[in-house]
Parts: sequence; C-alpha cells; structure tokens
Amino acid sequence: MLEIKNLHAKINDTPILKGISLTIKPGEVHAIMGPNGSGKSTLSKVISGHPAYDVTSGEVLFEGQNILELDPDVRARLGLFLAFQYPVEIPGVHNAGFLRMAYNARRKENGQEEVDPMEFDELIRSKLNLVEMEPDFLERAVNQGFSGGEKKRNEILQMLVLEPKLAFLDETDSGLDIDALRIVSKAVNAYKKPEVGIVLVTHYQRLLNYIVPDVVHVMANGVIIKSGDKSLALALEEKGYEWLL
Amino acid sequence: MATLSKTILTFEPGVMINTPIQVTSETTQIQVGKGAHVDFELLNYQGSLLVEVGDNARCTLLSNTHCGPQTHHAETIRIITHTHSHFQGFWFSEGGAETQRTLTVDVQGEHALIKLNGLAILNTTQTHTTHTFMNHHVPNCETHQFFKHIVANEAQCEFNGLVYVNEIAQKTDSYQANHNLVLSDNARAISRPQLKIFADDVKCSHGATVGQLDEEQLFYLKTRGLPLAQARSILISGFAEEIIDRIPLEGLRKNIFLQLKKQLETL
Ligand SMILES: Nc1ncnc2c1ncn2[C@@H]1O[C@H](COP(=O)(O)OP(=O)(O)O)[C@@H](O)[C@H]1O
Ligand SMILES: [Mg+2]
Repeated sequence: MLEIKNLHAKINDTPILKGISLTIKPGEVHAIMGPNGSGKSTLSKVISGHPAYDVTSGEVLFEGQNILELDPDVRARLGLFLAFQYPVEIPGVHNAGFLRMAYNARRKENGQEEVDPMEFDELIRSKLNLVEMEPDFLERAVNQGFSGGEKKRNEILQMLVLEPKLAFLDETDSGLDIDALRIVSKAVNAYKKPEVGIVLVTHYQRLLNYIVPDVVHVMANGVIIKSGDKSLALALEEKGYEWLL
Repeated sequence: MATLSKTILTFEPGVMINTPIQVTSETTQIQVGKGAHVDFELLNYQGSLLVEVGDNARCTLLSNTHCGPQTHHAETIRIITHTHSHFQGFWFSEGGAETQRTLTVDVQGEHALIKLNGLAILNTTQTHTTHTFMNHHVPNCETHQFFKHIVANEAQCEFNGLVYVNEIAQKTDSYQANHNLVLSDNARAISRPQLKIFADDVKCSHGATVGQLDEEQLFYLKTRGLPLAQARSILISGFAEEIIDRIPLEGLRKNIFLQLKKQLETL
C-alpha cells in the first residue's frame, strides 16, 4: 500500500534522506529504528507533505498513486496518518471541535454525511475509553498544557477517530511511563487489522514487546542500512547500533 | 434603586441587576454604588464616558462596535475603581474606517481587581488605535490587560499601553499583553507596551507579539485532513476565542461569537 522508492529529500539545502526504499503491505507492522538524527522524523514529515522539505528525487506511492505532489490534507483524506513525535499545541482551538471537523472532512471525502456534535460525542466515548482518557480532555485546547504522555495519547485518539489506512507513529512511545506505554500499545493493537499498515518509529525494543513488528528496519544517516525480522530489534537492544554502522 | 437619566446613570449601594444595562452614546457617566453589582453593554458607543465603581462593587462592561465602512469612531472611557471593587471590560470591534479608543483606569482603592480585554478584527484599509493608561495610585491591586488584533488586507492597528505604578502603589500586580495576527503582507500591526514603575515591590510584566499564522500549526491541522482554508479559519478563530471565552455574560458571549464567525468569513 505504501511504496517508497529511492527517496532523497533535503531541508535548507542540507540533504537528509539519501535514498530510502521501503514497501509496506496491508496488515503489516513495520518498525523503524536508528540513532537520533538519522532522518526518521524527516521521513515521516516528507511522507505527510511538510512544506519545509524538498524532495530531490524518488517516489512515494500510496495505493499506487504518487502522492508527492499532493497537499498534506489530501494525503490525509486518502488515509495517511502521522502521529507526531512532538504534537503541536494549538491554543484557543477546542479539542473536541477539532476532532469532529477532522472526522467530518474524512467522511465528506468518502461521500458520507457529516455528524453533529451529539452524534460525535457518542462515537468518541468508546475511543476515549480505549486510550483511557477522561472526557474533560476534549474540552481543552488542542494539546495545550498536556503532559508529554497526554499528547501522545491524544495522537492515538486522533488515529482511532480518523481510521487511516496507513499510520506512521513517530516515537509515540518516547516519554511514556510503563502504564501509558501499555495503554498506547493496547489501543494500537486494537486498531490493527488486515487492511491497515502501521509504521512504528522507536528507539526502544520495549514497545515492540507489546506491538510485534513483521519487519524491522535500521536507519542511519538518511538510508536504511539493515532490515530484518523482530529478532533484529532484540539484537540492537543487546549490541546497540555500532556493529551495523 | 437606580436613578436613570440619559446622561448620568446612578446605581444605589447594594443593588443587584442581573441583565446587562444598555448604554447609548448619550450617557456620559455611570456611578456604581458600594457593593452594587451591575453589567453594561455599549453598542457603537461614541464619545466620553466616566465609570466609577464603588467599594466592593462588581461591574462588567462590554463594548461592541460594529459600524459601517465609512464610520469614524472615537471612544474615550475613564474608569475609577475603589476598594475591593472588581471591574472587567471587553472591547470588541470590527468595521468602521477608523477607530480611536482611549481607556484610562484610575486605580484609587486598594485590593481592586481590574481586567481589560479587547479584540479587533480589521479588514480592507481600516485603522484602529487603542491607548490604555492603567494608573495605580494605591497599593495592593491586581490589573490585567489582554488585547488581540487580527489585521487582514491593508488594515492597520496600533496598541499603546502604559502601565503606571506610582511610588506609593506597592504590591501592584500588573500584566499587559498585546498579540497581533497579521494575515497579509500589506497589513500592519504596531505594539507599544510600556511600564513606568516608581514603586520597588511590584510584579509587573508585559508581552507583545506580532506574527502570522503558525506554519507548524497549519501543517498539523492539514495532516488531520483539514483543507488550508478551513485550517486557517480554525486558527484565526482560535486566536480570537481566547478573548471571547473570557466574557462572563453568557448571552453577550454567544452574540459576539456569532458576530465573530460572520466576520471571519470575510477575511
Ligand atoms: N530545519 C533543519 N535544518 C537543517 N537540518 C535539519 C533541520 N531539521 C532537522 N535537521 C537535521 O536532519 C537530521 C535528521 O533529523 P530527524 O529526521 O529529526 O532525525 P530523527 O527523527 O531520526 O532523530 C538531523 O541531523 C537534524 O539535525
Ligand atoms: Mg525523530
């Protein structure tokens, strides 16, 4: 469903991605690991269409369509989702209202009727339960004053509401205590289904104990230097990245 | 209980009035007696008004200006606050060719709490100038100012805020903020917050920002499937709602909110 072919990208004339190739099939869970600064977040931003990055060569096909020329919102409505490593705070914007507008944008795209606040309220309750968030989260401004863990759970809540075909979760486990990690993993596992692809960007094997990947990739200096099965993550945990570099 | 003449509105000590009193430009003075609790709504108020808030009195004033495109609007309001009084003011404006607003607060009684809030939405070639003068004559008062402007097209706004703390006014706690959202290359916002402090044991701060819509916030909204126009309007209205959410009078808050939504559609 997602095919990345020899992707090169730069920011402010600094090349960051230097030839990434990666294929994700429906139902698969991929993990991308690698040292800080290797370009993992850059990859997720390029795939979701951040304007600061220039793609210098390569292709990104989503369900066969080259998405690199599409605006970020169009990509999102096609079913691509990015959980941010650093979710953005938006003062003054009501979380529930924002979620409902995003949900309705997706419905409109699919030719479905928009839902009103009452209907949305029904729908969101079960999802809130999954990420173990209190309803008063919805009454606050988007991510404003949320703790690190709350922000990450809010990202997962958005994923559950928007029901993407491909979810790219950028370090959703960083900064989570063990309880929050368990909650987030449970929600992601509950969302896993045969038609959905999931990419987990992480530093830690511990997340992969909860969400078991089909493929593990190691990224360094803008390229994927090794791919393997879940045993690769265990080897990295034991030996670090040094032996691969 | 209340003596109502056209030019001077007097509220006797202790009166409680639940619905906001409409004030027209003919009124030049409002006297809120000791312990009274009265709220006011000013619609397109032009001219000079003195509001005196007595000991322990509570008063919310909401001034709503939305006039025709040719109008030149001038509003001068002076507020005198006494001991343990609580005054909250909201100035909401849109429309009009030119608006000049001067707000002076003479903080004359200790332990008063004063909050001034403003929101202006400017389009086309409109200009809007606010002067505030928060003058602390006594110790132990808390004063807040929170003004926001949205400027589109070739509109211009200016905020000049002076917080003045006299030597005697120890333990003053004063905050002044002015945030400007500039939506086009030809729009302009000028912010001049000033502090003049002659007492040594005070807590005073100010913050001013002039900026465009935040690219990272826009990107975040877009990645959730919201088209650019909708993402922009969500951010602009979020910027404005931070002020509107503070209006304690529910009916008026709802009206202002609807007015804002309509106005934002034109940006
Ligand atoms: N705005 C920028 N200008 C220049 N270099 C940048 C910018 N943003 C990120 N980088 C660089 O890109 C590299 C990859 O960053 P990133 O994708 O965040 O890595 P990771 O997520 O793997 O830790 C880093 O070396 C970082 O310093
Ligand atoms: Mg990163």
